[in-house]
Amino acid sequence: MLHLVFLAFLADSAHADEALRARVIGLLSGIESSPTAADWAALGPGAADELFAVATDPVALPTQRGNALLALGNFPSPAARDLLTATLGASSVDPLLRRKSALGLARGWGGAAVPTLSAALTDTDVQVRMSVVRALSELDDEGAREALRARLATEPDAAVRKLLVAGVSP
Amino acid sequence: MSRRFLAGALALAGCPDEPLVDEDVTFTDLGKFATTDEGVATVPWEAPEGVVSTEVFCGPYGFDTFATADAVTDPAGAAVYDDDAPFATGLRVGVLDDMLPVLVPVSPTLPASAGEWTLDLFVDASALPTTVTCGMVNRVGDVSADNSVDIAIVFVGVDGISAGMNATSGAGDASVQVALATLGDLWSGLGLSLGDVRYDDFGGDVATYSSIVGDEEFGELLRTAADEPELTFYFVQDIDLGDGASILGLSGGPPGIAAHGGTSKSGVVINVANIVASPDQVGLIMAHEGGHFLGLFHPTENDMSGEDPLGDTPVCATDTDADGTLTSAECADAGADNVMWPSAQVGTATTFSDDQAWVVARNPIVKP
Repeated sequence: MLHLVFLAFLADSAHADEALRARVIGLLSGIESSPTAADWAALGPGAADELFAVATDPVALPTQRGNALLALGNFPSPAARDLLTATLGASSVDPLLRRKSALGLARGWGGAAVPTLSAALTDTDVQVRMSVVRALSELDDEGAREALRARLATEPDAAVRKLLVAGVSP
Repeated sequence: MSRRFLAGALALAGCPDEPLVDEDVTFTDLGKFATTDEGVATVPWEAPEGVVSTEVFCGPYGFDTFATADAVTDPAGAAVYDDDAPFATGLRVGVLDDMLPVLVPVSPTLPASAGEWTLDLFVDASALPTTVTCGMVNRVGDVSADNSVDIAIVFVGVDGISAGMNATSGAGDASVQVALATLGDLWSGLGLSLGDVRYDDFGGDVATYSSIVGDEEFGELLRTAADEPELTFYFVQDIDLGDGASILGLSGGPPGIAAHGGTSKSGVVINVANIVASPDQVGLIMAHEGGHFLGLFHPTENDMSGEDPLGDTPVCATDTDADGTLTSAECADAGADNVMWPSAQVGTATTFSDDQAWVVARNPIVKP
């Protein structure tokens, strides 16, 4: 009897995992809408494992992986921070994933992410630099503003410079 | 004489009020309208005899300002839209930044008719009164069940995703062609085929507009659409609404402003980050967003906040888990198979309804 109860528990658990995974994939795949912090919170801490799985799945769609990296900022943990930092710094990785990692670091770690983000202001990819500037600009942090001001002196791309100017403005 | 040459010749000759866009499609500048201190302007517009569709649009009033219709009145004097009951009739009007289009028809229950229509425009500007410029596009002539639409694909700095994604190589790029084939397959359910396909490279600030962030960049990109009777798809690296998350596509409007370029509602933007891994998905998103541009709405909104004005698209009310959000699984038998389902998925969302085909067949840029 106990055996049957245990099997039923396992079946329920697998079903719950499947349902959670489907909810996570759904939130990562919006056509015209994106999930809020409340949407992620409603899924509970178990969503972080699913986000990790998608973010590191090489066959998942790039937009799903990128959105998973960003959403890990809603579930800050040392492992999530390591993943986002490593992805942002890996020049061989799809720039989309690196850009979402920058935004995820700002979302999850705020001022504590400034050193990592500041280092990425010199990235060779213009789009990555633009996302890093956005990430730093969204932080109410004097260290972030200082890094943006410093980069403004040397940034060669006009579009990035435009964002930098907006980012250092009060 | 070609239609385009004829249009150009007439424009050069100074045809004053109704420059020809196409044989049966005209654009008319309605001039400027000042709102009251309450933000309301009454905009009359005239639909000609034999009208198939008519669209009026007003703006620009800026990306931080929104406008909608307080009311729309048809030539018989009937109120066919009332902001207090926005889902009560066969017309839908958005609450939109910068530019407000109103397209008739978006449902067989409210066909276009000849005579004077009236839009009571409400602009929620911080400084009132304000002034907007309005225009209208009218289509007359035949209607068919078999139609085509010309499309333009504008590549905005996406050759890092696939080397062939530019105006020179787009016609030979395998991913682009699979996406277009999927688009054609899906739109065949509307009785719609792809007409001329034109490829172009974006000539502006590629670094800024290849990754769209927020409504302003979205609208600014659409303002670069050509003044042609075609549907412009901008292919970009990414779209986010300002919160960092990628979304897959956005249409001006909906509905878009048809056959008239240069407005923030003159096209569609498609995120092609997934095009190599899943060109079918990009084709589906093109079909969905293109459907919005042509006057189609979501059968039911994910958050149950509204539904389209059509009688033959299912309304889903099965929020099984009571979380306030409808999923494709919850609506598997109530709309999730429709291409206009708000979270349409490849392989599942494959159909259009007869009413949707009826609406699209009458859009100003669709050719019988």
